[in-house]
Amino acid sequence: MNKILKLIRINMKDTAGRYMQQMNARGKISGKILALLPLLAALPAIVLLVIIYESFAQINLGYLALTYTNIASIILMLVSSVPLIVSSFFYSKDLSLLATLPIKGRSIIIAKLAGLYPYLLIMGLVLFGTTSILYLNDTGFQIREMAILFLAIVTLPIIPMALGTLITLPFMSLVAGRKHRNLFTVLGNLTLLGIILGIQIVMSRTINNTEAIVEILSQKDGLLNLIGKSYPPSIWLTKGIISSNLDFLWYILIQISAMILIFFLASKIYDQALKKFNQQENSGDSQKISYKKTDIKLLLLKRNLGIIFTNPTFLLNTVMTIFIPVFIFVLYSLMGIMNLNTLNNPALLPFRDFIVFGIIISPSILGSLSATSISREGRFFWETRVMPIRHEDSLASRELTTLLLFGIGQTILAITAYMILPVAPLHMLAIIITVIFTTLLMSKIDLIINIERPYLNWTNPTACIKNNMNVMISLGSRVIFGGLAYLTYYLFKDMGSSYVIIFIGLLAILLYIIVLYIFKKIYVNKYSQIDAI
Amino acid sequence: MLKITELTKSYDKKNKALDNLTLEIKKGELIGFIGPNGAGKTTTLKIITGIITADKGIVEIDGNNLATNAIATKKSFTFVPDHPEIYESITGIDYLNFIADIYDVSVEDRQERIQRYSSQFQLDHALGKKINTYSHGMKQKLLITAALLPEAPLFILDEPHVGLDPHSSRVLKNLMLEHCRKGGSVLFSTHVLEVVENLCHKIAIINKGNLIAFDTLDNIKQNKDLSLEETFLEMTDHE
Repeated sequence: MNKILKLIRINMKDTAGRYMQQMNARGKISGKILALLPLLAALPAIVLLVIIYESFAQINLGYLALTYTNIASIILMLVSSVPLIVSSFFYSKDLSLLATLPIKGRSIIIAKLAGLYPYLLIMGLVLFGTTSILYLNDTGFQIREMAILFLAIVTLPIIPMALGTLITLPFMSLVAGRKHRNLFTVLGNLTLLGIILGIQIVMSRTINNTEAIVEILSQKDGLLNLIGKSYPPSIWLTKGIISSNLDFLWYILIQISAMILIFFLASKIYDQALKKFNQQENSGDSQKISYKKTDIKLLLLKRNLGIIFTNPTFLLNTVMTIFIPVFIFVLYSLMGIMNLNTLNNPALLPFRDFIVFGIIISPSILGSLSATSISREGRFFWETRVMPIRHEDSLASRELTTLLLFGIGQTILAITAYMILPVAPLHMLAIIITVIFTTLLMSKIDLIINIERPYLNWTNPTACIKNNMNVMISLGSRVIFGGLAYLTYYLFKDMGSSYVIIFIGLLAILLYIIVLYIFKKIYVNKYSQIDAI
Repeated sequence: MLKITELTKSYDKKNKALDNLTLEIKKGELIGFIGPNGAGKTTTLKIITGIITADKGIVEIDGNNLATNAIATKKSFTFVPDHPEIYESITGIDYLNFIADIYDVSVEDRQERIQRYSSQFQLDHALGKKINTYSHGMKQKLLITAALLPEAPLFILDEPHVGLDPHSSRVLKNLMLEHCRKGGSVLFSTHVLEVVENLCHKIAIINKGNLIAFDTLDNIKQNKDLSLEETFLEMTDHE
């Protein structure tokens, strides 16, 4: 047990050190304040949770918000834990070191999971913690309820971590020794996420069945059972909070069982998977030898794409970013929230141009690929420094990589959107031009962000993209552009949607010219001064 | 101390990276492990240290079988890899304390050993700094210090002299000899044949996954007029 604690401590120290470094948090007090900045991103979620809680509280069923957010937390944690587990278990720097030390596989698993625990706990605190405070505020902060809710919050990540580990490890053990393990990893991750969300959606579809709802409402705890049926421990927890000690005991027992399961089952699988992963480095495939000359820009483009495509975390992140609206639509249609008829509703006809524009532009609004285009290289960055490559070419190739990936995604989205929501060809042309310039603008802004904050010293890919403050700053730039776009809409809405789109396009062109000027004047030179590690 | 029997490893199921490699190192022996690039040195060391598994064969260290008694076996050796990849966002002293904890080194012993080794490697001034501020050589020295810390019977090093300054390289050579004098054993791979020639009790030469020689320098040099470099080139070129 002592060694597990030592391993946990070193992992936590390393994670905390890395995080503070990414945040550029150097000062003792200012650093700590800065480190808390990403929590601001939770504010919209907190506002939504207050609305949800008030809806339940109005019908005197505030406790149901606890069931609801408990399930939401579990799903969010489970979905997040899968890529986190893959990254920290199989793509971190300490794999070889750990394999040589006299530590049991299960100790490594527990220490690694302990490293993930704070991330998942923060998710739980935001979702379930907020609802808990709202509930306690209503019921007068009774000691029993407070104790149970505290226990519930701190144990919340256990089941998602256990499930994530038990799903991920056998799969990774299976693909670890294979030729295209990275591709398998990405496809596997997507499939796993699909299955997790799919199960949840199928379970929640009963809500559309009127007869079932009537029957459920007539039963004792009917609504509680309806909401919590996809995850029974949430029902036990809710009952436990309200009154039943026995139900809370069941809840705690399931947490303990999950821990035991990890302890006894996972270590053996991890041991095998880890060794297979370690040996993969040595088994380089021999490819066809070619001596043909290639243009330097094309070479750089291929190199940058290679960095993304050979790394499962980057690839998964890119694919998810590009097809986010498709995922959302598929999920919403499966949940019965919206379908093609909803989108074709005559009431939405005046906004159709905006909807189509929103669908096509989404990858470059939600994705921040250029914001990590330099950071992504990590310790390989020196290559572009020592080779006789113009800084302008190096930067252009990074931007081109983003544009190419977004271009592919946006073309597919544009064709799909045009087929589902036909708009006049001239309107479509205006939308496409606006999308192109907005994408160029966003990509350029992101590149500037990355030149300002070239975080090159990362130890695993997740550290580069998930924890990087660049992504947050980049999203902030979208908020500002969104505000300007809304102002354009507000000023010119009477002229019709296509004109508003054109004016947004002109705004994007104007801003692009300004950003391009600043970029050429300041940032090419600044890029040349980035120290390669 | 170390006994490996018929180790066989193939990464692609076609070519053998190691082919029935058998080797025994006794207590007090300092062994230089040499061979051309891709000959199987690192693969052998990775199998011995448990980073990867062999398709066939047995690894025994200090009487313990690596496959059946991994933890006890791993307590009998420490390893310095060829690429110093470790936790980067902690300080040097954090890392050394972590290793000391894992190998159950008492507080008194760790303090004395850390001070001794780090001052010998001129690393003492940097122990409070984050590892990601270290140069390649400093990281290498930290890893060597960490590997020396538990005073395990077997000391395994993969190309340890790469990145070391002349002073530290000399310190390492002396420490390896001292370790063997105390009854421990050292196995290290290298491409620096002068080091092997001047330091080792025995030399193991590997080529294309086969152990083609394992003997004292004199016995390997059948023709006394040839240097180790010439002997090595002759042996490996003819394979």
